[in-house]
Amino acid sequence: MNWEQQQQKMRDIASELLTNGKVDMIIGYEQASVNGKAAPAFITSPEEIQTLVWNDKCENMLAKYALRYKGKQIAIVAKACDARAIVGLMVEHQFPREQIVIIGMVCPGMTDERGRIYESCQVCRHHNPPVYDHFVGDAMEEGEYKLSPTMAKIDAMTPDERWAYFTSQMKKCIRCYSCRQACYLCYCNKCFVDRNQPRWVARTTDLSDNIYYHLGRIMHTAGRCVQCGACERVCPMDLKIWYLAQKVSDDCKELYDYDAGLMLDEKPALADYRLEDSQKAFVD
Amino acid sequence: MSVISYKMLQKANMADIVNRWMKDYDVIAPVKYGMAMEFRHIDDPKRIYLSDGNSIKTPKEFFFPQNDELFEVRDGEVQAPISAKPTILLGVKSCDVTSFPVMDKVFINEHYVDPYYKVRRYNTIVIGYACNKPDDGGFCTTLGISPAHNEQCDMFWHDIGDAYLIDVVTQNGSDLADGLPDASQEDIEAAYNAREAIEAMMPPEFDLADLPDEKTFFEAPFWNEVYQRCIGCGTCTYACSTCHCFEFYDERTKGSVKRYRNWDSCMYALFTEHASGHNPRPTQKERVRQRFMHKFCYYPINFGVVSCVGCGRCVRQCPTNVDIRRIIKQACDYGREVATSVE
Amino acid sequence: MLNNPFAPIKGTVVDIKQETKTDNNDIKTFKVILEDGDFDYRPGQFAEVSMFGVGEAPFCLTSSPTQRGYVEFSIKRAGSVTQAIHSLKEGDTIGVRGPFGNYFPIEAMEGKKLLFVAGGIGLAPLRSLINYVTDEEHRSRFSHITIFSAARSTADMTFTWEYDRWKQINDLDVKFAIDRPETGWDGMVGFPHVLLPDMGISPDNTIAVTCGPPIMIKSVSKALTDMGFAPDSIITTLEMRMTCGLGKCGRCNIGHRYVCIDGPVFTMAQLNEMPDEY
Repeated sequence: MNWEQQQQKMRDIASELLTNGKVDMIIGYEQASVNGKAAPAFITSPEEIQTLVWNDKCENMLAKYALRYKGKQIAIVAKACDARAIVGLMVEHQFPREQIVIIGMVCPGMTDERGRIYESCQVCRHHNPPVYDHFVGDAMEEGEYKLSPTMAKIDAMTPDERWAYFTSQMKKCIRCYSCRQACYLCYCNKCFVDRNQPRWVARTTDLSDNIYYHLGRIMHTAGRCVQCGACERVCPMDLKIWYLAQKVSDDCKELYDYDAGLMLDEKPALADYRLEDSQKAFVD
Repeated sequence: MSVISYKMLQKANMADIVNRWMKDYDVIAPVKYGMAMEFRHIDDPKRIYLSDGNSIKTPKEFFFPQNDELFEVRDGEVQAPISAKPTILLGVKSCDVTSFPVMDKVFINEHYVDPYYKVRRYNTIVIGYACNKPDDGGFCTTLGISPAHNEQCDMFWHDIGDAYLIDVVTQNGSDLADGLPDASQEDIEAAYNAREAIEAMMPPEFDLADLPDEKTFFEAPFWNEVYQRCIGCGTCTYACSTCHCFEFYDERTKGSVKRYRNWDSCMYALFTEHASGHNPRPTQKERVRQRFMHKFCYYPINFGVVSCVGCGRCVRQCPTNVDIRRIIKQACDYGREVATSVE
Repeated sequence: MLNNPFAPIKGTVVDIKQETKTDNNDIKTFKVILEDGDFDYRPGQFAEVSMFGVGEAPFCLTSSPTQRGYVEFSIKRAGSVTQAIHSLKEGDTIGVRGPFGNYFPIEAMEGKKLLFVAGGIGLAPLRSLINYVTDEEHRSRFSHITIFSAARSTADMTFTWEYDRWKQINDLDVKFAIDRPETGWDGMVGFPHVLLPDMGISPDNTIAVTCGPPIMIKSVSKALTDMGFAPDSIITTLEMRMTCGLGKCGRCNIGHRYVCIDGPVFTMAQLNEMPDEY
C-alpha cells in the first residue's frame, strides 16, 4: 500500500466513523498553507473528510490533542509513534482505551521541507502501530536498533567536545517552550519551569537556565518517551535536542529492556520496580 | 516619504564604509546562520550577509531584548542606569522597518514612556533593505507595506546587481552617506521597477476594512475552530516583530537583586492567571483570540495602527500552521457577512 | 520616579494588622511610609509593591489620601510575592511604584446616596473611598451612606477595627453578612446578591460601588440592575494580573481596555460594552 492508498483507506474509515456517529471528531492531518507540510486537522462532519491527507509530511504529534478532548469520543489518525504515545498516555491513566479510536497508520518515516527523512524516523524501530482499531497499510518489518547520526557523533566526542556541542545548542534556545508544548508527555498541570513557589528555574535565556529546563524536561520523560522527535521538529531555532531523548530512552532500553508505548498493561520503566532490576542506575 | 537624495554604493566598497561607521557606531547587521540569517553585532563587516529572506528572530530585540536588566538593588538602593551606544541597524527588511514605529506607540506614548526602549530606539539609525523575493508566508502588501518600503527609516538600500542604490531618507542617513556618489536616473528606475515587480507578485490577500467591530469579532464563531491546532507554545509571539508583552523576573545574587524584564507570551496559560487560580483566559481558545484581536482590533482602537507588519515569521515558524493570514481573512469574510445581513 | 516608571521608591513598613482570624490568617494590612513623600493618589488607584528578589505585584491603595503621611495595603496571601510580604516585620522595607490607574468618580457621586457592597478582601479598595467620603472635610458632600460587607465567615471579615469608627459617622449604616450560619452570629446570612434585594435599598439618587471576587461582582451587579440601578450608577473595581501598571506588558486587557490604565474602576455601563473576559 502506498501513501495514496493508505490515505484513501484512512478517509474511508474516518467517513464511516463519523457518518455512523461512532465518534464526535476525527483528529488527522490536512495540507498546511506553507512549507509544503501537513497540519493537524479537526474534522467533525463527513463533508470535510476529503481535506484529510496522509503523506510523508504528517509530522505533528497528534496524541497531544487527545489530552484536550478528554471525555469526548474521538478518532485519531495515528502514525506508529502517535499510537505508541496514545498507549503511553493510557498506561498513565489519562483516558480510557474505549474513548479513542486509533486509526493506526503504518509509517515508513516523515521527511522535512527538503525531503530528508527525519533523524528520529531514520532510526525508528516500530513502524507499525502496536495498538489500533484500524490498521492501515502493509505491516513493515520491525527494525533493529540503530545509532542515530547525531548520537554516533556524540559518542565519538571527548567530554569537552560534548559539552561544547551541547552548550552550542542550549545557547540558541529562546525558551518559547514549543518542545514542551508539542510533547505529549508534557501534560503536567503546572510545569516545573512555571512554578514560583519555589522557583526552580528562571525565565531568562541564560545558558544555565536553558540547560536546566531542557535536562529537567528530558529526565522527566525518561522511560516514557517514544522518541517521536516532535520536540526537535517544532523548534523554531533548530536546536538539536532529540538526541537527549534518545539517550535516556536508550538507557531505559539497556537497563530495563523497556520500550515505551508498546503495551497497555506494562508500567513505564521508572514507575515500576522489580527486585531483579539492574542496579546500574542507582550506583552510577 | 520624500527621499532627500539617491546614492550609489558599490558592493565591493561596503566593508569600507561600514568600517568607517564602526568608529562612531555599533553596527548590527544580518550574518549567515545555518540556512538562514540572524542579526548580530558586527566586528568584521565582511560577515554582513544581505540577502533575500528574513531572519528567524526579529531585530526588535535590539530595542526590546528578550531579557532586559531594568535595575539593580544594592544595599537597599535602586540603581537604574539607562544608556545606549549610538547604533546602526543595517539590512532591515521593510516589514521590520515598519514594526519599529508600531512598537513605538506602546513604549513611547502619552501615558508612560519606557526609558529603556526609548534610549535604544532614539540612538539607532535604521537602514532598510528591499526584498527582491517574498518569503513564504509574508503578506506585507496586504497591510499596505511595500517590500521596498523606504519610509520610517534613515536610509533604504536596494540590491541592483553590483551595487546598492540608496534612498537617503533623513538627515542622519544623509550624514552616513556622505561621500557616496549620486545614483543615475537609470539605476533609480531599475530599483523602482524591481519594487513594482515584487509588489505585483504579492497581491493583497484581504481588506482590513472588512474586519468586524470589536464585539462581533470577539463573539465570532470561527474562534471555536481556529484555536484547535494551537499547542500553546510561544513561537509566534517570540518570532513576531510587533509582540511586546513581558513579565518581570527578580534574580538574587549575594548582596544584589536584579530585576529583569523578559518576553512573555499571551499563548501561555500563566500569562493571565491570578495568584488565586482564577484565569480570565482559561483555555487556548481565549488565548488565540487575544493574540489576533490584540493585533487587528485592540491595537488599532488604542493606537490607530494594526500591530502586524506581515513579515510572515509566525506563519513560517508555527509548528502546527496556525496561519494569521487565514484567520484574519476569515474575520474579514465574517465581518462582510455580518455587515450584509444587517443591511 | 516619573523618569523611570519601572523603578520603585522605598517604603518602610511601620504597622502590620492581622485582618482575618482564619486558620491561615491570610489577610494582613500594612501601613507604609514612603521615602519620597510626594505620593499623590486618589481612591481607587493602585500601586505595584516590590519584594526585591521575589517579585512585584499590584495592590489597591486601601488607605485614603485624607490619611496623610502614609499609605496602606491590605494583602491576601496567595502567591510568592504576597507570601514574602506576609513575612515582613515592622521596620522592613519594600519597593513601591505608582500610583497607577484611574479612580472612583468622586465628583459624580456628590449629593448622592452611596451604597458600598464588598465581598471579602473586596472591601480593601472600597475602604479608600469610604474613608475619603466619610472624612470630616468631605462628609457633607455626600448623602446617606450604606456599607454592606460580606465575608465567608466571621473569621474572614476584614477591617473589623474600622467598624466602630464607621458606625459613629452620621447618616451611615454598616451591615454585615456571612455565607453560612455561625453560633453567636445574629447578623445576616447568605450571599450578598441574594440578600441585597430585601435590604430596603432604593436605587433613587444612589450610586452603588462594589468589589469582590469576579463571580461576586457579576452576581451583585445583576442583583443591583434588577433592583433598578442604572448601569452607570453601578461602579466596580477590577483586579487583574497587572505586571507593569503602564499599559505595556499586555496582559490585563479586557477587550481593548487595559485595566491598569483605563481601569481598574469601571462602571457597569462600560463593562457591559466590554467582552466578558475578567
